[in-house]
Amino acid sequence: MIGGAPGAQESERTRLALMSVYLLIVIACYTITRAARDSLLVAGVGPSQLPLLYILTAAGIGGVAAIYPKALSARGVRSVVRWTTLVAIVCLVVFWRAVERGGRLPLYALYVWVSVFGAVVVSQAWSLANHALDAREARRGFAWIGLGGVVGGILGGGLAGFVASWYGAPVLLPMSAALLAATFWIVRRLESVEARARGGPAARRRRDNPGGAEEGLRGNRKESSYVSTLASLLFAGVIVEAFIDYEFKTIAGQGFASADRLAAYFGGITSCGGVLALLTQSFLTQRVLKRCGAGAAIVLLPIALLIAFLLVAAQPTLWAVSILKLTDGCLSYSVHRSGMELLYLPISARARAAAKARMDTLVDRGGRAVGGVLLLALTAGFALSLSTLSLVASGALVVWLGIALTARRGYVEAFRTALARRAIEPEGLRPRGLDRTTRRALEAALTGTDERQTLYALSLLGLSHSEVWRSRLPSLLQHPSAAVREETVSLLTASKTLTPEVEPLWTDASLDVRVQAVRHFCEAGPQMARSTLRELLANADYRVVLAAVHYCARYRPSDADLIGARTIERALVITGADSVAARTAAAQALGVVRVPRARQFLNRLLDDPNPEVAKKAIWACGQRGHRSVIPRLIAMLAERSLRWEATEALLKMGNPALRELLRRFNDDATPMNVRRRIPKVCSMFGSQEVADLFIDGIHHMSPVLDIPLTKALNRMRSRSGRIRFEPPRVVRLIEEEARMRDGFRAIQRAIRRRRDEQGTHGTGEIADLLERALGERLDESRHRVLRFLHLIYDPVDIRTVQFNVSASPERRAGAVEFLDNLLTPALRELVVPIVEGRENESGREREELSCDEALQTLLEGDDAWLKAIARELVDRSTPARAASLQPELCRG
Amino acid sequence: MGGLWMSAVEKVLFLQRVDIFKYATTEMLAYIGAVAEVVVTPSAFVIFSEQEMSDAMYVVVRGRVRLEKDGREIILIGPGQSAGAWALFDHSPRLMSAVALEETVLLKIRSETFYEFLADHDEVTPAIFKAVIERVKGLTADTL
Repeated sequence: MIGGAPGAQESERTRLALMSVYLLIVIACYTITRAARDSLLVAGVGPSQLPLLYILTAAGIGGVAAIYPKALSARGVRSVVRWTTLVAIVCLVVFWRAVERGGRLPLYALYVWVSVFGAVVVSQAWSLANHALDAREARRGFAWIGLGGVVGGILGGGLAGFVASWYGAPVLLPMSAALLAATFWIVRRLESVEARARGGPAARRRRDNPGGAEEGLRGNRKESSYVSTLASLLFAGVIVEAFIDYEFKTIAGQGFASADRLAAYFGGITSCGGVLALLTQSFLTQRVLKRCGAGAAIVLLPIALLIAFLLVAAQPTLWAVSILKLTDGCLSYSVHRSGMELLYLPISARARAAAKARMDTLVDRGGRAVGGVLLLALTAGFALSLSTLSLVASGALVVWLGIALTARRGYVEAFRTALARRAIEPEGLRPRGLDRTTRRALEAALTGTDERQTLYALSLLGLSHSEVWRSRLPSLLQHPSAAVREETVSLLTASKTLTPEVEPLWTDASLDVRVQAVRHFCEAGPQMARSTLRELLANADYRVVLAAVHYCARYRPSDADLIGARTIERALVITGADSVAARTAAAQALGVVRVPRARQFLNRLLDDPNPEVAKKAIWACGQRGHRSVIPRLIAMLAERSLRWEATEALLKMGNPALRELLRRFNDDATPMNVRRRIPKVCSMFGSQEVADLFIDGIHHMSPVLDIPLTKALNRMRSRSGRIRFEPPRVVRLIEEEARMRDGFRAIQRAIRRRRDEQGTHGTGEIADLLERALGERLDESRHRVLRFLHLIYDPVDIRTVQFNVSASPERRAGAVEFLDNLLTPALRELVVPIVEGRENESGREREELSCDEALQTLLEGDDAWLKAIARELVDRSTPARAASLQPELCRG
Repeated sequence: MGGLWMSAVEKVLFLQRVDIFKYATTEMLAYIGAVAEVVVTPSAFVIFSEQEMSDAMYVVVRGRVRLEKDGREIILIGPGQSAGAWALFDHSPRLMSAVALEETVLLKIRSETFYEFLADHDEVTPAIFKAVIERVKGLTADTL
């Protein structure tokens, strides 16, 4: 029956059949055990205990639901299925023996167990189905699997009625166990079938190890241990919170006779706590963090609570417990919370997200549960008084304090490690400012010899507005690293602190340091900027002049007009070590200031043999809008080292550049390596006219240009919301692409058929190569089709599909399923078979070609690479055949 | 070492067997073939020596090449096999020497030329990356 399922692919039929039988068996087992359970309970105990059993069942399922996803994630679905089945079989046998011995307890236990068993195995069966089938297969096959489940229910019920009437209800339990044992074989068979379908053990390992994403977190043991400390800290806090809540409500309940007064009291305490928290956050939190650090912030709350609990222990009165509640409300949502947030800072971003999620779910809920159980035991079990309960809470607080101190040490250590790994995001610091611990760690890094750490610390400290660390900067002016010296001067300039110690750096060996030194004197003391710059540009030492010109070019101060033709001329005639830097500075300066004979200077610099100088000259042309150089800039698009600058300059020149670009693109005389680059540049102009022109160009120019044109259109679609692509034009492109694909497939089949029927005659390698090349053309065509869809659908959706289509067969199936739901019916019919690679089902095939016709088609086509392979194949075939196909090939 | 002409298709037939190009399309291989020189070496010719800075990779087209370390043979390679593929990315001293055992035809790809080529054919880079990453993963898995 399943073998004939419409649309079911050959490779998935066995898996579908196995999954159907699997669900049939487990549902049958569940139906049989349920029948046994209900009959045994009603007969042996009666229905009066059912409400209690419902509650117990809910608790049992809740417990399993908490553990089950983790087990799935850690062990993989197949392993969990095997273990669950084994445990279920053992349980069924044990229950069978226990029920036969008599007594009520086994019946209660059986009742709860069967309910949990039913919930687990059914969910497990669908997990297994999801695992065994990809999204497309699932779409086709899930109905059949479900049918297996329905049949299992019918069969199980019938079997239970029949067997129980003959052998008694308890026998149903071992019978279920025996049935369940059969599923071991099914799971094993499923595994081997799936491995063959998916490409071997590697794919299986990937699918069976969904927890791989957490490997990175587990891999970093130091970080992991620190996260555990944070979890313990939170856990302790949540437990103590349960004590606070209990004592507060108990004493309040005793203190107020009426519900109205109690409600008023609760409201008053809550609002007072809120006001106190606001005040604390506004006036205390930042001070505590800055002066004492995060370590102190996280011990403040437990210390305050300890005092408050001792107070309650001494006098368990309303005012004492009010102080306790207010202390908690005031500190826990202000200083303590800010301190806790800081503690996450040294954890890498990826681990942080996982850790926070785990804290919010597991640790928080676990802590509350443990707190509840503890309270239950201490109050109901040991009947402790509130004073004694407060002493117990004080003990918990001491533990909390101990963990907080450990976390404080761990924080410093983790911070140090993160600093060395450059793992702290500046955004993480910006909103909070720097706490003392952080600042000290960064200041310590400033005194180190490690250039990377020092620079990183400087960049982080630069974000804070603290004056304290700035006093350390002058000492870094002598740092052996030029990058550190440069960054130091830059920070001093930014802080407007004119520092005379910077002056010697005018003649520093590093040009970048010299530029920063010049900038410092021009910008840190603004009242004398112009005179200082004039003095520096006329300096006898050319290194200083060079730095001053670079400063003008890079930072464009208003005084840059001090640079004149003479300065440029001087730069162009400099020889020796500084010659390149001088010409670079001259080119850069020409882009900033108006200088007589600028065009002449720039033409000379565009021809400079040094690419850095040429790049700056191109940039300057763009800045000054020298249109006469547009043809030269377009030609430069073929030069790798100058391409980017030429593009930028052309964009800067606007429409005149765009017109020339389009003219050159349509001109067959333009070299192909330039034409291939033009669509990308044009796409950056974001013009509707360009988009229309390009969309009409696809499939009508050289095939080499199809990809650059399509990419350019995609870029325009992604970057410019103004551009519209008419769906009918895009559909036409996809239809043309489908026709091309049909042609390639026909040629591919002809070559394959010839090889199968007549052998290769020594040309097997070439024929294989041709077949492979044709396959690649089909892949490229599929990507182009997706790129066309990108023009009329949400680019993010289509990019997701593109990524998943290339990633793996399983992901491709999911992507196709997504497309199936995304596209309009007409497009779906056209595109889905292309992406799935099953166009032969669509009936769009051409007539079959002979091998000679196929080769002739390639030889007459305009695909240079396929033509080259076809020609080689013809050359190596018999001379007569070669002559019949291509007479000219035989003449030589 | 002398030169010899090979068609683009012939070059691709050899380059497609090189591990590092396994994810490159045949057309990409044709482009790579365009920057590969065909060299003919006499018998006993030392193609590269141990500790010499690596600057090129070689694919054997015809003949046999002995790879040796400290004079001890490590492996013999023949047509379709390559030597020094990592040299394309790693300018470090060679770990082995390569000696032609007979008159040998090789495809030689210089790393400098290859980098130039990659810069102009950025579509090839992901295919090369994929093969390199796969190889690194394989090495890591072997080590663990």
